[in-house]
Amino acid sequence: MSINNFIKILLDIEVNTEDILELRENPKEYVTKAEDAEKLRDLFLLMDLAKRQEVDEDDN
Amino acid sequence: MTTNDELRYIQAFSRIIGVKEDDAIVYAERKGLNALVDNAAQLLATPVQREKHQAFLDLYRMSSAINPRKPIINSPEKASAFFHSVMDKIHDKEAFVVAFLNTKNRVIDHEVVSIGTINSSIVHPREVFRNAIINKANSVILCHNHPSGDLHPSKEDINITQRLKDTGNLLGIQVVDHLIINGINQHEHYSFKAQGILEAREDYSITTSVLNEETNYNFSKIAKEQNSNFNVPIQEHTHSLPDPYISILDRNAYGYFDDEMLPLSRERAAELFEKDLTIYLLYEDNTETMTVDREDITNHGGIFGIEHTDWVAFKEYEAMKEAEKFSISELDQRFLDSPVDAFAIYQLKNGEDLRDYRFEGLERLQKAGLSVEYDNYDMVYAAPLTDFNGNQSQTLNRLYEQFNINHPTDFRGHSLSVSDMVALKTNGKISFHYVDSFGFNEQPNFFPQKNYLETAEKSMEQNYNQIDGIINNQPAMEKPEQKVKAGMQISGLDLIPTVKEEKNDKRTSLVEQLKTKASATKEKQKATPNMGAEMER
Repeated sequence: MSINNFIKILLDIEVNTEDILELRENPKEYVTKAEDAEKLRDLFLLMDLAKRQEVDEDDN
Repeated sequence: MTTNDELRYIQAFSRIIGVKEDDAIVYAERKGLNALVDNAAQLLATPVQREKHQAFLDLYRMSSAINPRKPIINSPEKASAFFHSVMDKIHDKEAFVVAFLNTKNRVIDHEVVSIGTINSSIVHPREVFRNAIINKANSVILCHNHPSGDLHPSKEDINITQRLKDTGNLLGIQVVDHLIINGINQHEHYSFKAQGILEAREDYSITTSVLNEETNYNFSKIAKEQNSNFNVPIQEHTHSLPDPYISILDRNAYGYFDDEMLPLSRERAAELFEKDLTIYLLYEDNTETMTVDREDITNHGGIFGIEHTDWVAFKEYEAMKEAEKFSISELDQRFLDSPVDAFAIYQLKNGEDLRDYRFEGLERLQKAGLSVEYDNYDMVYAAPLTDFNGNQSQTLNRLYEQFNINHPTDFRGHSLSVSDMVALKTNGKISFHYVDSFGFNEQPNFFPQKNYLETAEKSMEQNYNQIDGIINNQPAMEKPEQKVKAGMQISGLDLIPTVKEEKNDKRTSLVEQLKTKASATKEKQKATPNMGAEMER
């Protein structure tokens, strides 16, 4: 499944790129509404926190 | 993580997956914060939540695999981009940073060695190489910035570089390059490597900055003096080589001696490169460079190589895939023939071509003009159904939970999710159930129907098992119409000789057809005037 589809399922928004790094760096560029960019930031925040949690767990 | 971070994590999780924050907090308290990602099945009450969670997991894994902070660096431009990204907050101060690379030139880690004026008392070799050793780095790239914007190296910069290079040589950790960047123009950099300063001290003659060098790194392109002087391997490998057309002796004769590198011809190199293996361009001076794209292979005039460990791992992977293929069909048969109640799990085969099917609900799948096809699936697990209580729906839900939370240790598929199939064999009857966005959806036509005529033909025919829909060696029988007229019953098999006769009436053998066609063509050629000859006249 494409990144577009995952984001659609998760946030119910459309993004016009398949480049997840670009989307993370410049969410505003790939959505039409500012609130959608916020939703994307929220999603990437969750990913970052999940990663940190994973690293913390590795360290323990 | 601090408590605040933990709360932010739970809040973000609740918003995105659509679960109640209080429920998520209680769940995390009970099972640990990691359970929100690893083991959330009990928290996810609805199919929508489960679908979202699965999408999050897939996206998270995808994102982790493309780790932007650990890129492969194979040119001064990529090194410059990397150092700009890690030094963006200290661009106004002079800072010295070192990146540690593995054998594939991927960044393992980086370290800010000093902030402030760069001099040899601050940038001490032990500071630079301490973490390189801890990280088991194969090589390092050094970088410092000039906040003024002037990229010219100072005499001190050159001395430090030489000192670190010498230390690296002693330790066996290569100093690949030393970059000077600035905080003003991200596209400008000075590369010691591109200037040749890292190659030979007598070449120092820096008068101007070289900006935007196009020179690509030949990171491993340093003469392996020890190898070329001593320990030259002349034995052939005992294991099979990746390319039967080129031997170790050929490789040695070419001038390349690293015994960990197995030689390849261009064709084989291209073939293995397409399979995502790391291919090296080998040089006659006993050095090599990693192939970055397909064009490198086309443009290289010499031989190619693959690391021994990569080749062994690849062969093991291929063997595993073969073994799995066999065991999958065996599993299929065992489930179908099971004398007791049983269940099986089918998951979509790997591959990009099934991307549009993966994790799609049935409705969306059908809207996209796609359907659930047996050929797209592999059976990944089958086992007896020990406690079937007559309630199919309950059984399916129980299996869903089990294959998300507590799946058997020998289960190698992914957690049961949308687009998977669950097959149940209960009281001798087999049913197939699509894991949909909302519950399960029975697919009565999932399993391909057996061609009984083919089976009959295979078991009865003696004409070299030609499967042509005709039982060719049946003796002549009464015509079925006559049987029916006589009030006798007929079976499907009774019809077969008739079909054969009818076909035989109409069918001419292929050899006959070719003979007829050949003679017809000859006749036609005779009749057709030679147009070329006509024209010449």
